[in-house]
Amino acid sequence: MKHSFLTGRLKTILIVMLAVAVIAGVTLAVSGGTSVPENIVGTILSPLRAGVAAIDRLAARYYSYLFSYESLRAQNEAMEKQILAMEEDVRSAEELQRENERYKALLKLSDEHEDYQFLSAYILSWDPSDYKSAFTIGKGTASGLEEGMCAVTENGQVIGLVTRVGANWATVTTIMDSSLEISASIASSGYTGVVQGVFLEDGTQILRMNYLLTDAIVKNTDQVVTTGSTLYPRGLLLGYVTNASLDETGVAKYATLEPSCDMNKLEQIFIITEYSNQ
Amino acid sequence: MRSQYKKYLMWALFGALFVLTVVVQTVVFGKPQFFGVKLSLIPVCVACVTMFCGAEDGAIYALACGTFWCFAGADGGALHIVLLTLCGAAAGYICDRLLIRRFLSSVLMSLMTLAVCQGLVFLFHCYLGQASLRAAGALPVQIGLSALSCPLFYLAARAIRKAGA
Repeated sequence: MKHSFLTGRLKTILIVMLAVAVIAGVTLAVSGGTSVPENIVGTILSPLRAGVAAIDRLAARYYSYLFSYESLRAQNEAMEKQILAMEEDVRSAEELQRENERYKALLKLSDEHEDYQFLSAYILSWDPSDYKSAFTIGKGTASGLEEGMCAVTENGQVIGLVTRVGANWATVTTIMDSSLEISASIASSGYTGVVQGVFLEDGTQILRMNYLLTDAIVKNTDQVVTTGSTLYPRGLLLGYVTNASLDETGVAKYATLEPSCDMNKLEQIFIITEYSNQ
Repeated sequence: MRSQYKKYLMWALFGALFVLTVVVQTVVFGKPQFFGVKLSLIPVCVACVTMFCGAEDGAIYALACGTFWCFAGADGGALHIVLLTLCGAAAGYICDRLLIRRFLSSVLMSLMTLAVCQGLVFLFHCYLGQASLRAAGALPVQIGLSALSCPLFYLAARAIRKAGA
Protein backbone atom coordinates (compact mmCIF):
# COMPACT_ATOMS: atom_id res chain seq x y z
CA MET A 1 0.00 0.00 0.00
CA LYS A 2 1.33 3.36 -0.98
CA HIS A 3 1.50 5.95 1.80
CA SER A 4 1.44 9.45 0.41
CA PHE A 5 3.21 12.20 2.34
CA LEU A 6 0.63 14.77 1.35
CA THR A 7 -2.58 13.46 2.91
CA GLY A 8 -5.70 15.60 2.88
CA ARG A 9 -5.19 16.68 6.49
CA LEU A 10 -1.54 17.51 5.94
CA LYS A 11 -2.44 19.59 2.90
CA THR A 12 -4.87 21.55 5.09
CA ILE A 13 -2.17 22.02 7.75
CA LEU A 14 0.27 23.30 5.12
CA ILE A 15 -2.31 25.75 3.78
CA VAL A 16 -2.96 26.96 7.34
CA MET A 17 0.81 27.21 7.83
CA LEU A 18 1.17 29.46 4.77
CA ALA A 19 -1.76 31.59 5.91
CA VAL A 20 -0.33 31.91 9.44
CA ALA A 21 3.15 32.70 8.07
CA VAL A 22 1.79 35.40 5.76
CA ILE A 23 -0.40 36.90 8.51
CA ALA A 24 2.53 36.79 10.99
CA GLY A 25 4.91 38.32 8.46
CA VAL A 26 2.48 41.11 7.61
CA THR A 27 1.63 41.69 11.30
CA LEU A 28 5.31 42.00 12.21
CA ALA A 29 6.04 44.23 9.23
CA VAL A 30 3.13 46.66 9.47
CA SER A 31 2.75 46.90 13.25
CA GLY A 32 5.67 49.34 13.42
CA GLY A 33 6.18 48.70 17.09
CA THR A 34 5.07 45.75 19.14
CA SER A 35 2.20 43.74 17.69
CA VAL A 36 -0.57 42.23 19.83
CA PRO A 37 0.63 38.60 19.42
CA GLU A 38 4.19 39.66 20.30
CA ASN A 39 2.87 41.42 23.38
CA ILE A 40 0.91 38.32 24.45
CA VAL A 41 3.85 35.95 23.92
CA GLY A 42 6.26 38.37 25.61
CA THR A 43 3.94 38.83 28.58
CA ILE A 44 3.68 35.05 29.03
CA LEU A 45 7.44 34.58 28.71
CA SER A 46 8.52 37.55 30.85
CA PRO A 47 7.86 36.02 34.34
CA LEU A 48 9.30 32.69 33.16
CA ARG A 49 12.39 34.44 31.86
CA ALA A 50 12.70 36.40 35.10
CA GLY A 51 12.53 33.15 37.10
CA VAL A 52 15.06 31.31 34.96
CA ALA A 53 17.32 34.40 34.87
CA ALA A 54 17.25 34.53 38.69
CA ILE A 55 18.20 30.83 38.87
CA ASP A 56 20.88 31.40 36.24
CA ARG A 57 22.35 34.32 38.21
CA LEU A 58 22.24 32.29 41.42
CA ALA A 59 24.02 29.37 39.74
CA ALA A 60 26.64 31.72 38.34
CA ARG A 61 27.12 33.26 41.78
CA TYR A 62 27.53 29.87 43.41
CA TYR A 63 29.92 28.77 40.69
CA SER A 64 31.95 31.93 41.08
CA TYR A 65 31.84 31.60 44.85
CA LEU A 66 32.95 27.97 44.85
CA PHE A 67 35.76 28.76 42.47
CA SER A 68 37.15 31.53 44.67
CA TYR A 69 36.46 29.52 47.79
CA GLU A 70 38.61 26.65 46.52
CA SER A 71 41.53 28.94 45.79
CA LEU A 72 41.19 30.60 49.19
CA ARG A 73 41.20 27.26 50.97
CA ALA A 74 44.31 26.22 49.11
CA GLN A 75 46.03 29.42 50.16
CA ASN A 76 45.02 29.44 53.79
CA GLU A 77 43.33 26.45 55.36
CA ALA A 78 43.33 28.05 58.77
CA MET A 79 40.77 30.59 57.61
CA GLU A 80 38.33 27.95 56.41
CA LYS A 81 35.96 28.18 59.35
CA GLN A 82 35.81 31.94 59.21
CA ILE A 83 35.16 31.85 55.49
CA LEU A 84 32.36 29.34 55.93
CA ALA A 85 30.73 31.55 58.54
CA MET A 86 30.94 34.54 56.25
CA GLU A 87 29.96 32.82 53.01
CA GLU A 88 26.29 33.68 53.19
CA ASP A 89 26.98 37.33 53.92
CA VAL A 90 29.61 37.56 51.21
CA ARG A 91 27.36 36.03 48.57
CA SER A 92 24.58 38.52 49.11
CA ALA A 93 26.91 41.43 49.85
CA GLU A 94 28.80 41.03 46.57
CA GLU A 95 25.69 41.55 44.54
CA LEU A 96 24.51 44.41 46.74
CA GLN A 97 27.91 46.05 46.46
CA ARG A 98 27.92 45.81 42.68
CA GLU A 99 24.45 47.28 42.58
CA ASN A 100 25.48 50.02 45.01
CA GLU A 101 28.47 50.95 42.88
CA ARG A 102 26.28 51.20 39.82
CA TYR A 103 23.80 53.46 41.64
CA LYS A 104 26.67 55.63 42.92
CA ALA A 105 27.91 56.11 39.36
CA LEU A 106 24.36 56.78 38.24
CA LEU A 107 23.98 59.41 40.94
CA LYS A 108 27.03 61.18 39.55
CA LEU A 109 25.52 61.01 36.08
CA SER A 110 22.23 62.37 37.43
CA ASP A 111 24.09 65.26 39.06
CA GLU A 112 25.72 66.10 35.74
CA HIS A 113 22.44 65.85 33.85
CA GLU A 114 19.67 66.95 36.17
CA ASP A 115 17.09 66.63 33.39
CA TYR A 116 17.64 62.86 33.00
CA GLN A 117 15.11 60.50 34.54
CA PHE A 118 16.31 56.90 34.82
CA LEU A 119 14.60 53.56 35.14
CA SER A 120 16.81 50.65 36.13
CA ALA A 121 16.29 47.13 34.82
CA TYR A 122 18.10 43.82 34.81
CA ILE A 123 18.79 41.90 31.61
CA LEU A 124 16.68 38.73 31.49
CA SER A 125 17.60 37.15 28.19
CA TRP A 126 19.61 37.70 25.02
CA ASP A 127 18.54 37.17 21.43
CA PRO A 128 20.09 33.80 20.49
CA SER A 129 20.66 34.79 16.86
CA ASP A 130 24.23 35.18 15.59
CA TYR A 131 23.06 38.07 13.39
CA LYS A 132 21.32 40.21 16.00
CA SER A 133 22.39 41.93 19.17
CA ALA A 134 19.41 42.51 21.44
CA PHE A 135 18.25 41.59 24.90
CA THR A 136 15.05 41.52 26.90
CA ILE A 137 14.44 43.31 30.19
CA GLY A 138 11.67 42.69 32.69
CA LYS A 139 10.09 46.13 32.54
CA GLY A 140 7.60 47.49 30.04
CA THR A 141 4.81 49.97 29.52
CA ALA A 142 3.61 49.31 33.07
CA SER A 143 6.85 50.91 34.32
CA GLY A 144 6.63 53.82 31.88
CA LEU A 145 8.83 52.49 29.11
CA GLU A 146 8.25 53.49 25.50
CA GLU A 147 9.81 52.52 22.21
CA GLY A 148 12.81 54.58 21.24
CA MET A 149 14.05 55.27 24.77
CA CYS A 150 17.79 55.11 25.21
CA ALA A 151 19.51 52.50 27.39
CA VAL A 152 22.78 53.46 29.05
CA THR A 153 25.17 52.13 31.65
CA GLU A 154 25.58 53.80 35.03
CA ASN A 155 28.45 55.78 33.49
CA GLY A 156 26.39 57.19 30.64
CA GLN A 157 27.73 54.84 27.97
CA VAL A 158 25.14 54.09 25.31
CA ILE A 159 23.98 50.48 25.19
CA GLY A 160 21.14 50.75 22.70
CA LEU A 161 17.53 51.73 22.15
CA VAL A 162 14.27 50.20 23.31
CA THR A 163 12.79 48.76 20.11
CA ARG A 164 9.84 46.72 21.36
CA VAL A 165 7.77 47.16 24.49
CA GLY A 166 5.15 44.93 26.06
CA ALA A 167 3.24 45.25 29.29
CA ASN A 168 5.97 43.75 31.50
CA TRP A 169 8.88 43.32 29.08
CA ALA A 170 10.89 45.29 26.56
CA THR A 171 13.52 44.50 23.97
CA VAL A 172 16.62 46.66 23.80
CA THR A 173 18.52 46.52 20.51
CA THR A 174 22.16 47.29 21.18
CA ILE A 175 24.35 49.65 19.20
CA MET A 176 26.21 46.57 17.89
CA ASP A 177 23.14 45.52 15.87
CA SER A 178 23.22 46.40 12.18
CA SER A 179 19.60 47.60 12.23
CA LEU A 180 20.38 50.53 14.51
CA GLU A 181 21.84 53.76 13.12
CA ILE A 182 22.78 56.52 15.55
CA SER A 183 23.83 60.05 14.63
CA ALA A 184 27.17 60.71 16.26
CA SER A 185 30.04 63.11 16.30
CA ILE A 186 33.68 62.95 17.23
CA ALA A 187 33.89 64.83 20.52
CA SER A 188 37.27 66.49 19.92
CA SER A 189 36.79 67.64 16.31
CA GLY A 190 33.01 67.77 15.83
CA TYR A 191 32.96 65.69 12.63
CA THR A 192 29.57 64.01 12.35
CA GLY A 193 28.59 60.61 11.00
CA VAL A 194 26.33 57.65 11.59
CA VAL A 195 27.32 54.86 13.95
CA GLN A 196 26.13 51.37 13.05
CA GLY A 197 26.99 47.82 14.08
CA VAL A 198 28.48 45.55 11.43
CA PHE A 199 28.72 41.76 11.41
CA LEU A 200 32.01 40.64 9.93
CA GLU A 201 32.52 37.47 7.88
CA ASP A 202 34.19 35.69 10.78
CA GLY A 203 31.06 36.22 12.87
CA THR A 204 32.45 39.03 15.02
CA GLN A 205 30.67 42.32 15.48
CA ILE A 206 32.26 45.74 15.22
CA LEU A 207 31.03 49.30 15.50
CA ARG A 208 31.49 51.59 12.49
CA MET A 209 31.08 55.34 12.11
CA ASN A 210 30.06 55.95 8.49
CA TYR A 211 29.67 59.00 6.27
CA LEU A 212 32.60 60.99 7.65
CA LEU A 213 34.02 63.66 5.37
CA THR A 214 36.92 62.39 3.26
CA ASP A 215 39.16 65.14 4.63
CA ALA A 216 38.12 64.52 8.25
CA ILE A 217 41.09 64.16 10.55
CA VAL A 218 40.39 61.29 12.88
CA LYS A 219 42.73 60.13 15.59
CA ASN A 220 42.79 56.83 17.42
CA THR A 221 41.11 56.89 20.87
CA ASP A 222 39.01 59.91 19.86
CA GLN A 223 35.71 59.77 21.74
CA VAL A 224 32.55 59.37 19.67
CA VAL A 225 29.38 60.73 21.26
CA THR A 226 25.72 61.01 20.29
CA THR A 227 24.63 64.21 18.54
CA GLY A 228 21.20 63.98 20.11
CA SER A 229 17.79 63.43 18.58
CA THR A 230 14.20 63.01 19.63
CA LEU A 231 15.17 59.49 20.80
CA TYR A 232 18.37 60.09 22.76
CA PRO A 233 20.19 63.01 24.39
CA ARG A 234 23.39 64.46 23.02
CA GLY A 235 26.82 63.85 24.48
CA LEU A 236 26.40 60.21 25.49
CA LEU A 237 29.51 58.14 24.91
CA LEU A 238 29.28 55.56 22.11
CA GLY A 239 32.88 54.42 21.73
CA TYR A 240 36.49 55.19 20.87
CA VAL A 241 38.05 55.38 17.40
CA THR A 242 40.40 52.48 16.68
CA ASN A 243 40.95 52.92 12.95
CA ALA A 244 39.84 55.06 10.00
CA SER A 245 39.79 54.55 6.27
CA LEU A 246 37.96 55.44 3.05
CA ASP A 247 34.78 53.44 2.58
CA GLU A 248 33.94 51.11 -0.35
CA THR A 249 32.63 53.99 -2.49
CA GLY A 250 35.72 56.10 -1.96
CA VAL A 251 33.68 59.27 -1.45
CA ALA A 252 33.40 59.09 2.33
CA LYS A 253 35.48 58.03 5.24
CA TYR A 254 34.58 55.60 7.99
CA ALA A 255 36.06 54.87 11.38
CA THR A 256 35.93 51.64 13.29
CA LEU A 257 35.11 52.08 16.95
CA GLU A 258 35.61 50.18 20.13
CA PRO A 259 32.31 50.27 22.05
CA SER A 260 32.53 52.28 25.25
CA CYS A 261 31.01 49.46 27.29
CA ASP A 262 31.57 45.72 27.24
CA MET A 263 28.24 44.18 26.20
CA ASN A 264 29.29 40.79 27.57
CA LYS A 265 29.54 42.15 31.10
CA LEU A 266 26.19 43.93 31.19
CA GLU A 267 23.93 42.93 34.03
CA GLN A 268 21.92 45.99 35.02
CA ILE A 269 21.04 48.82 32.65
CA PHE A 270 19.37 52.21 32.97
CA ILE A 271 16.79 53.58 30.58
CA ILE A 272 16.58 57.35 30.14
CA THR A 273 12.84 57.89 30.35
CA GLU A 274 12.92 61.69 30.26
CA TYR A 275 15.42 64.33 29.29
CA SER A 276 15.46 67.90 28.13
CA ASN A 277 16.44 68.31 24.48
CA GLN A 278 17.96 71.77 25.01
CA MET B 1 -12.09 9.10 28.93
CA ARG B 2 -8.84 8.28 30.70
CA SER B 3 -6.94 7.96 27.43
CA GLN B 4 -8.35 11.30 26.28
CA TYR B 5 -7.14 12.91 29.51
CA LYS B 6 -3.72 11.37 29.01
CA LYS B 7 -3.58 12.76 25.50
CA TYR B 8 -4.34 16.28 26.74
CA LEU B 9 -1.68 15.88 29.40
CA MET B 10 0.83 14.75 26.76
CA TRP B 11 0.18 17.79 24.54
CA ALA B 12 0.32 20.11 27.56
CA LEU B 13 3.68 18.63 28.50
CA PHE B 14 4.97 18.89 24.92
CA GLY B 15 3.89 22.54 24.97
CA ALA B 16 5.57 23.13 28.32
CA LEU B 17 8.75 21.50 26.99
CA PHE B 18 8.80 23.92 24.07
CA VAL B 19 8.15 26.99 26.25
CA LEU B 20 10.91 25.87 28.62
CA THR B 21 13.22 25.43 25.63
CA VAL B 22 12.45 28.96 24.43
CA VAL B 23 13.18 30.36 27.90
CA VAL B 24 16.43 28.40 28.27
CA GLN B 25 17.45 29.27 24.70
CA THR B 26 17.06 33.00 25.32
CA VAL B 27 18.06 33.30 28.98
CA VAL B 28 20.87 30.76 29.36
CA PHE B 29 22.16 30.30 25.79
CA GLY B 30 21.22 33.70 24.40
CA LYS B 31 24.57 35.35 24.98
CA PRO B 32 27.35 32.74 25.32
CA GLN B 33 29.09 31.62 22.17
CA PHE B 34 30.81 28.26 21.79
CA PHE B 35 33.52 28.17 19.12
CA GLY B 36 32.13 31.45 17.83
CA VAL B 37 28.51 30.32 17.46
CA LYS B 38 25.38 30.27 19.59
CA LEU B 39 23.50 27.05 20.26
CA SER B 40 20.15 26.57 18.59
CA LEU B 41 17.89 24.35 20.69
CA ILE B 42 14.49 25.10 19.14
CA PRO B 43 14.88 22.94 15.98
CA VAL B 44 16.21 20.04 18.09
CA CYS B 45 13.23 20.23 20.44
CA VAL B 46 10.75 20.31 17.54
CA ALA B 47 12.49 17.44 15.72
CA CYS B 48 12.58 15.20 18.80
CA VAL B 49 8.92 15.80 19.64
CA THR B 50 7.55 15.52 16.09
CA MET B 51 9.35 12.25 15.41
CA PHE B 52 7.17 10.72 18.14
CA CYS B 53 3.96 12.36 16.89
CA GLY B 54 3.80 11.39 13.23
CA ALA B 55 3.49 13.63 10.19
CA GLU B 56 0.11 15.27 10.84
CA ASP B 57 0.18 15.78 14.59
CA GLY B 58 3.87 16.66 14.29
CA ALA B 59 3.07 19.31 11.69
CA ILE B 60 0.39 20.86 13.94
CA TYR B 61 2.78 20.87 16.91
CA ALA B 62 5.58 22.37 14.79
CA LEU B 63 3.19 24.97 13.38
CA ALA B 64 2.19 26.04 16.91
CA CYS B 65 5.85 26.10 17.99
CA GLY B 66 6.91 28.06 14.91
CA THR B 67 4.17 30.64 15.48
CA PHE B 68 5.05 31.00 19.18
CA TRP B 69 8.77 31.27 18.40
CA CYS B 70 8.10 33.80 15.64
CA PHE B 71 6.23 36.10 18.05
CA ALA B 72 8.77 35.48 20.83
CA GLY B 73 11.28 37.39 18.67
CA ALA B 74 12.86 34.70 16.51
CA ASP B 75 15.49 35.91 14.11
CA GLY B 76 13.95 35.28 10.70
CA GLY B 77 10.41 35.90 11.91
CA ALA B 78 7.66 34.12 9.96
CA LEU B 79 10.27 32.05 8.12
CA HIS B 80 10.41 29.86 11.23
CA ILE B 81 6.70 29.06 10.95
CA VAL B 82 7.24 27.57 7.49
CA LEU B 83 10.57 25.88 8.22
CA LEU B 84 9.60 24.30 11.53
CA THR B 85 6.24 23.08 10.19
CA LEU B 86 7.80 21.50 7.09
CA CYS B 87 10.63 19.93 9.10
CA GLY B 88 8.19 18.71 11.76
CA ALA B 89 5.95 17.11 9.15
CA ALA B 90 8.95 15.58 7.38
CA ALA B 91 10.45 14.23 10.62
CA GLY B 92 7.12 12.70 11.61
CA TYR B 93 6.62 11.16 8.17
CA ILE B 94 10.14 9.75 7.93
CA CYS B 95 9.85 8.17 11.38
CA ASP B 96 6.39 6.80 10.49
CA ARG B 97 7.52 5.17 7.27
CA LEU B 98 11.27 4.69 7.19
CA LEU B 99 12.91 4.83 10.59
CA ILE B 100 12.39 3.30 14.02
CA ARG B 101 11.77 5.84 16.78
CA ARG B 102 15.15 5.38 18.43
CA PHE B 103 17.86 7.71 19.60
CA LEU B 104 19.82 7.55 16.33
CA SER B 105 16.70 8.56 14.41
CA SER B 106 16.26 11.57 16.68
CA VAL B 107 19.88 12.60 15.99
CA LEU B 108 19.25 12.32 12.24
CA MET B 109 16.00 14.27 12.44
CA SER B 110 17.62 16.93 14.63
CA LEU B 111 20.50 17.31 12.19
CA MET B 112 18.06 17.58 9.27
CA THR B 113 15.91 20.19 11.05
CA LEU B 114 18.95 22.16 12.21
CA ALA B 115 20.49 22.11 8.73
CA VAL B 116 17.27 23.30 7.08
CA CYS B 117 16.39 25.97 9.67
CA GLN B 118 19.86 27.37 10.31
CA GLY B 119 20.88 27.03 6.65
CA LEU B 120 17.88 28.92 5.31
CA VAL B 121 18.02 31.58 8.03
CA PHE B 122 21.70 32.05 7.15
CA LEU B 123 20.84 32.37 3.43
CA PHE B 124 18.07 34.81 4.37
CA HIS B 125 20.66 36.97 6.15
CA CYS B 126 23.02 36.67 3.19
CA TYR B 127 20.17 37.88 0.97
CA LEU B 128 19.64 40.86 3.30
CA GLY B 129 23.36 41.58 3.23
CA GLN B 130 23.78 40.98 6.95
CA ALA B 131 26.00 37.91 6.49
CA SER B 132 28.49 36.75 3.92
CA LEU B 133 28.48 33.34 2.22
CA ARG B 134 32.11 33.06 3.30
CA ALA B 135 30.87 32.79 6.89
CA ALA B 136 29.05 29.55 6.04
CA GLY B 137 31.84 27.61 7.76
CA ALA B 138 30.25 28.43 11.11
CA LEU B 139 27.05 26.57 10.17
CA PRO B 140 28.36 22.99 10.55
CA VAL B 141 29.87 23.96 13.91
CA GLN B 142 26.56 25.41 15.06
CA ILE B 143 24.60 22.41 13.79
CA GLY B 144 27.02 19.93 15.36
CA LEU B 145 27.12 21.65 18.73
CA SER B 146 23.35 22.16 18.85
CA ALA B 147 22.79 18.49 18.02
CA LEU B 148 24.61 17.61 21.24
CA SER B 149 21.45 18.62 23.10
CA CYS B 150 19.54 15.89 21.26
CA PRO B 151 19.75 13.21 24.02
CA LEU B 152 18.03 15.53 26.50
CA PHE B 153 15.16 16.32 24.17
CA TYR B 154 14.90 12.72 22.98
CA LEU B 155 14.58 11.41 26.55
CA ALA B 156 12.12 14.14 27.53
CA ALA B 157 9.95 13.60 24.44
CA ARG B 158 10.02 9.82 24.88
CA ALA B 159 9.01 10.12 28.55
CA ILE B 160 6.15 12.49 27.70
CA ARG B 161 5.04 10.23 24.84
CA LYS B 162 4.98 7.27 27.25
CA ALA B 163 2.95 9.30 29.75
CA GLY B 164 0.38 9.99 27.03
CA ALA B 165 0.24 6.43 25.67
